[in-house]
Amino acid sequence: MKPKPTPAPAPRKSEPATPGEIDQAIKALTREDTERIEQSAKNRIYRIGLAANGRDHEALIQEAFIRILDRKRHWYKDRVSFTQCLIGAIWSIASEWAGHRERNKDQPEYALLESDLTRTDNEGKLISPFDGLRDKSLNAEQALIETTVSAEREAENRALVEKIEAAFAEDEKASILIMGFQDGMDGPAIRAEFGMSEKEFRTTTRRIQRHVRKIMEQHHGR
Amino acid sequence: MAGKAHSHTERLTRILDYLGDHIRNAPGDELLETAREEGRYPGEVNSRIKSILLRTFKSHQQKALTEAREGHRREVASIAEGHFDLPKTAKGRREWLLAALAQAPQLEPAFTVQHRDLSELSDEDIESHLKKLSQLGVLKAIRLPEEK
Repeated sequence: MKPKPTPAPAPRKSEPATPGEIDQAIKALTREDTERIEQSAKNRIYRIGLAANGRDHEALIQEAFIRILDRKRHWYKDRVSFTQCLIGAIWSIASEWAGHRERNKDQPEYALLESDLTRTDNEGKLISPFDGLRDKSLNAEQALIETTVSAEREAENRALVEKIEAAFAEDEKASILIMGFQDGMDGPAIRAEFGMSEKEFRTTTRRIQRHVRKIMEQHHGR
Repeated sequence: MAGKAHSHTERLTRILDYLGDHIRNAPGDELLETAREEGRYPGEVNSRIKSILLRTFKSHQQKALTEAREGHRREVASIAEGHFDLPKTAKGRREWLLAALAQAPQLEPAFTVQHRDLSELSDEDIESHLKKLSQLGVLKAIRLPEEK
């Protein structure tokens, strides 16, 4: 009779990192790590636009880190690196900020400058985007504000997309990649469809990243 | 490709999401090369980000320490100021002390040596004993007779 196989020991349940381990992880961050953290935070701030509500990428990094320290988000050091955990928190918080803006579009903190959005009605009367907030019965005006804010946002993003496309008008490979990104294609799909080598794809992506970053920084006045 | 109609907001979002994923997963040396191409100094970024994180870490630790100290201070002050949740009536207080002695019989000798007959203890004495027991944390484990 075959001897019964000895059951494998149950895997040890991983514990979230202690404050001491977190402290060590910060001190051990390499230049690659901090570059990845900073670029990720900037990317998310550009992505959420007005929802950042004046907060910059450093504020986003700080808030993500506080989530880890408050143990609202855990870092299991045997599963992911500290950098990946922090970047995960950065993405989540940026999504939360965007979600908050989506649910509170009519709050003044998210509005563009009042003067930018003030319009004249058919009778020549000025309509402020905040008028609807002063009197909740003005639903039609609120709807108008919402439409106006969405239209402003769309116009602003249209200008950005056009700038990005114009920057690569003479760069066929980059134009192909940008069209692919816009259509929601992933890297392997784009490479397969256009017969691009991995090296070519990566170099082009890096070129796009550099230009997009420059355009977004100019747009955000940094 | 590019045949579908998307809003410009959606198109920009997709470009930024793709680049965001690329930043998360690209090899580290590639990120450094991009930084150098842009004329940035990864060493400066490293010092700045580490300093933000270490400063946040330190202030978070100090906040936790301050909160713990404040909690301890409040507890000590509460004991010093005599904030005890004692029964309102003299009868209730006497029953509580008797219950404490019955449920923690190791305390009884100390009381019987001091007061041969517990029934002769004044209400002031009972209150004072209850406060001492409360300071020692003994009363936390004692159930009042009516709670049994």
